[in-house]
Amino acid sequence: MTTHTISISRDAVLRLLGMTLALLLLMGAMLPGEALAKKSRYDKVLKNLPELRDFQVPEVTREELPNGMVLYLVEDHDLPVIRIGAMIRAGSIHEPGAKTGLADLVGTVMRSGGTETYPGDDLDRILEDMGASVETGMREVSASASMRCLTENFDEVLPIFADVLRNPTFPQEKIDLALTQMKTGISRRNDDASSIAGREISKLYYGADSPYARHPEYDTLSNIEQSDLSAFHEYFYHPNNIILVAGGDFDTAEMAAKLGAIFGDWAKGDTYFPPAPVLSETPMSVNYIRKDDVNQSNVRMGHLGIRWDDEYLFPLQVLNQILGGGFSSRLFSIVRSQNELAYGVWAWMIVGNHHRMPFTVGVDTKSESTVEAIRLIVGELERVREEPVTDEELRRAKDGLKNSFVFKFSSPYSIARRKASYEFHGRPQDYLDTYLAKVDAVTAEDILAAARARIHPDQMAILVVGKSEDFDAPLSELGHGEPNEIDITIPEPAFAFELPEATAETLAEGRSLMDGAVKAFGGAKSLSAVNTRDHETDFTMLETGMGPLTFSIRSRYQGEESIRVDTNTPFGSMTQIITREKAWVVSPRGKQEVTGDELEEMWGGEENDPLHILRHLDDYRIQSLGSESLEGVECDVVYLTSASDDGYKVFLGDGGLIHAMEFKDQGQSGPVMNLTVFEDYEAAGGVQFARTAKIHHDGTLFATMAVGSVKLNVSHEKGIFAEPKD
Amino acid sequence: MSFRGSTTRRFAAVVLTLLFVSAAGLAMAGYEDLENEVKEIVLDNGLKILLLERHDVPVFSFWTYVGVGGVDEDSGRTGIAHMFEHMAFKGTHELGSKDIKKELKALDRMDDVFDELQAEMLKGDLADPDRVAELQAEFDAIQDETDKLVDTNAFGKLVEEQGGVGMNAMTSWDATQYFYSFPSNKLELWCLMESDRFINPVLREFYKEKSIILEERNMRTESQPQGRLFEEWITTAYKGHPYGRPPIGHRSDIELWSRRDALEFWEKQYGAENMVIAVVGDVYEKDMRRFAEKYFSKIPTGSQVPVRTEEPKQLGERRVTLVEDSQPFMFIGYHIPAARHADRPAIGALADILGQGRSSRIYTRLVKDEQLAVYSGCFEGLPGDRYPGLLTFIAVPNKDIAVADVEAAIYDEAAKIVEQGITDEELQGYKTRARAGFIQGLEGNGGMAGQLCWAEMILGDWRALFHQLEAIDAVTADDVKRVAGEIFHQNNRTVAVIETADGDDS
Repeated sequence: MTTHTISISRDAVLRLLGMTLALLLLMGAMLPGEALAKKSRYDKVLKNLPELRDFQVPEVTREELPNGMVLYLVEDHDLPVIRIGAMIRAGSIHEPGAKTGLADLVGTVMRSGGTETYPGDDLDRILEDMGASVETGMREVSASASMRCLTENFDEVLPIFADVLRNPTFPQEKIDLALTQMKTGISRRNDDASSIAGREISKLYYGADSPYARHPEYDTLSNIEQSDLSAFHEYFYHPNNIILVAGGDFDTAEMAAKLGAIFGDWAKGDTYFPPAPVLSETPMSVNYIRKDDVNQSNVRMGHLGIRWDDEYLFPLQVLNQILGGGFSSRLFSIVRSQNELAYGVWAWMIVGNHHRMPFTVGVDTKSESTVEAIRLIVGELERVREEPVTDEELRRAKDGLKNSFVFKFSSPYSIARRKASYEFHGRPQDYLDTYLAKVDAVTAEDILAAARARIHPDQMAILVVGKSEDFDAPLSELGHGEPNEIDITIPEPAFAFELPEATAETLAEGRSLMDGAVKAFGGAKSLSAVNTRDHETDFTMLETGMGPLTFSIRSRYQGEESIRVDTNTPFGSMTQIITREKAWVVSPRGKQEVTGDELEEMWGGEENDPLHILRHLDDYRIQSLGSESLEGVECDVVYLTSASDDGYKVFLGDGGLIHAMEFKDQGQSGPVMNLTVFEDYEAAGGVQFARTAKIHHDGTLFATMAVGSVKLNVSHEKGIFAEPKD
Repeated sequence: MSFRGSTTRRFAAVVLTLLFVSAAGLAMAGYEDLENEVKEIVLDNGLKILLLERHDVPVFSFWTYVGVGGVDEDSGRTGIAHMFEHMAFKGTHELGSKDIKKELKALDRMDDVFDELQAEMLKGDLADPDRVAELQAEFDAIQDETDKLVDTNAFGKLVEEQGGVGMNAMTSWDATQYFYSFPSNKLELWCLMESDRFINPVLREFYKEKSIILEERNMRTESQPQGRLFEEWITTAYKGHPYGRPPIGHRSDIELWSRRDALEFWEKQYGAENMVIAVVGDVYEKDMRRFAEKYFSKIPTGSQVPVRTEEPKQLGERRVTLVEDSQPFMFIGYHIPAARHADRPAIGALADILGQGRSSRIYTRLVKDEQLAVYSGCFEGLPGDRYPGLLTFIAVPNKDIAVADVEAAIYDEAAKIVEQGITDEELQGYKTRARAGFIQGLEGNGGMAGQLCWAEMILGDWRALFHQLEAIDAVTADDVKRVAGEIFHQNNRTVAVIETADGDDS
């Protein structure tokens, strides 16, 4: 029936259609459904599938040793194999940013370096000759150690495993080997587009410096010393910080006894865990990373998502299936199958165990469909917030989760491991007990509410790694302005400054330039005449996490024998009295005495003072490096090397005054490259002093100094350098 | 030594299971009896189904191994085996269509139009642009028509909603393999689905899938420096044998194949005699036999012809250098005999001692001692096992290390074995590792199923899986020295290298 052969009004057609529909519905109600169509074999088979039979979940035993080590044990006698996995409460979030890579190094060198009894290279041979393995590793919020062997080798491998966990020696040569490999990793990290995308989207979610996203650089690796590794291990690796999972061909009681015997004498320890980093929401941004050797764009987009205790946990897990998981998902059907834009497309709301993990959509599409694919996906993200999922989608997703539930029990070891992991992260053990009921209870409205609360296409980071000239449209057409181009050039190592071979000429020229500097500062006589000093300085730290903070500092010197520094901070005042034998620090927390290495470090800092260098030129080997421009000032550059091999790159500016000095320094959380630029020179007592200075740490402005007054050769009050009273 | 102990405990476990969990089946028998546990079901059409019962958990995994891969493709149709693999997820006559009669008719018309379109396009410069445009428009119209008839991804959706996990497939030079796992109450559904996709495939959305395959090619090969290098390397190493073709297909072939090419390929290659299916898990022989007869016995036989061309003896070293923005990388391949050759156990020992594990010679020298490479190793298996393959070295040089230094060190280690052979300790270590590796490899239903299929199709008998250790045990240090001497000649190798372009070291 068509409307132009039988001329009837539109209303009549609708009425007729309505009647037909009603009739069909009526017939449907009267007849059994299958009578309408020839029943396919699929319908028959599906209808006759048996119920899944019951099965015995293997029994997992939990034990706790007196020293606090927790054991999860499960027998599995299918094969003569035993494996043990340890979860340790350590992780890379606990390493200082300036030493990023430290935790990874610990994870690597525990095993590659081995122990006194089992050096790493011996371990390689001993274990491989048995076809066994012992491995260690490190993640963000947990560390791991594991072993796997045939039952017949267990008594040989367990002591190795325990020794590696308890007594790693971290030999320097294996640290160096691991460092070489990590540096190679850095040099290769921009070769593969998808790993660039994964790494950089994390930084957009968490912040580039966040412990959840940052990665090692040549410089952060150079800051790491052997003692850092030992200290990290000693701090975190305590029996009461460890959960062990053992599974395989053993008797539970026997295994508990063996583990008790080998770990029982390990003393409990205390660990203070600093609070986890605070996360802030991901701001809307479109970002672009240039990669010339590709014909496909790697696109990632998303924002911070959820943790296991999120109120929308179950609706979101059902939504995961509907939106971006597998063949059944909307993105697979729409982006891949129907619009042929990608081989790989996915979306997933990861459930964090410890902190909120991201919600990410990924698609790899030819350069020419980059913007089209992004638009299509954004549209789908908007759609899950606008309209409820269909009944069919809901049924299919829930059925999938329920029907595949049995696979959570497919290996005894993984069952034990899951239980251990829940305890490790403080998650309730009954999660799976109520899983099926909770999946079943999810409604389309729940999913809509969850999507509205937890998926934010208008507040996400979009990242494209690709070749923009081949794109179908500029990224600015996504409607969020010009894209932010991210520079992923690998920073060259700052500390790997290679001093050119000195020649008689460059040495002579260097010395003559520094002699010139001495003259410019007032001459050797005036410099050596400086005995007592009294400075007042405002020191403003910019990178505090609480905004800029200014300290007023009064420093008083008695020759080179004693220094007194009085500091006023917003949190109270502090006095440091430093003598050659001892130093004292008095703060609101009381008085502390300083001797030994720490005292030497305090004095070492004084050597970074231009005045000190100018007064002791004979202590340095001085080499000219030619001229260089720094912040627009043309400078003669000399390099000074001290007897203890400390190096100072000195930039001599106008009139031979020191424009800047660059040297390795101690930062707030480890070594940094300090570049201090001096400005506003002024004479005081015949000697030039810079009234302001800007201190850069690793290329970032870290602090400024403003000198209020400089008094030379004054007489200090009596007793100011004596040990303070309590 | 502990077999007795573990058998006793296993026995105790069996008794306990019987006493308390009547619904659960027996625990698996000892691994040493596994060979006797495998049941072989051979159907009248020649299809072999292997079953290993494991009743701990009510799940099973299957592995369908079809002895068809890149080597079975005709020149000009490279990648068609992989394309068919994709098509095997597109549903059947009964699954995935809203109106199968209409759909088949439309697909047939579409094939006619595409044949004409293809013929016109093959004229190259002489093609008539108006005719191409006209045909393209006609083609697009039918495409729209068929799109409306398709229930997209019905096959995958059904597997997923029924609780299937790990659904995937892969196509190599040798074979096309399909696998996933199901809860064990879905056995009959799986038998229906798995047989149906090879008996009544529809190859719907064929032309749309080409774009997806091109995206896959972009992802794996064209947008990946190491992917580009790999393809250059393999295609250089073979000049006669089809191991020298990329299984994903040349771009121009992908653009030109027709749906009829794929159908023809399926009819010829997907014969029951060229397939083996292994099922491992909570499945009983009685049920498996019944459903196998009912569903799989209808898979037709095919007419595959073995590859005729033997790769001629290589007469000189071949070398490919890609100058890239990325960091250096290297493949080295030496021709070796096929997997069934009597020398392969000795070659396996050679590869292991030279380059597998952290105590191997190459790892010890290049990675640990001289720190030339972040990774370097040696292995068999590429491009495949059906025909003579390549003993492969991979090297990933450390920062600021020249590829040439790494390459020289690898040749030096190979030469040492040619000249001095290996020690008895090294050989013994390998044999122990092989045994432990074999036992640990039996874990997991899917992996076990895959191994059974591989042994059946490559070694000619699945039982050979359980006798590999005997062949390995028979290897002597002299054998290893001899095969090294036969393999490691400059004339026998193909080297492919990425060199970093000047002026860009970041």
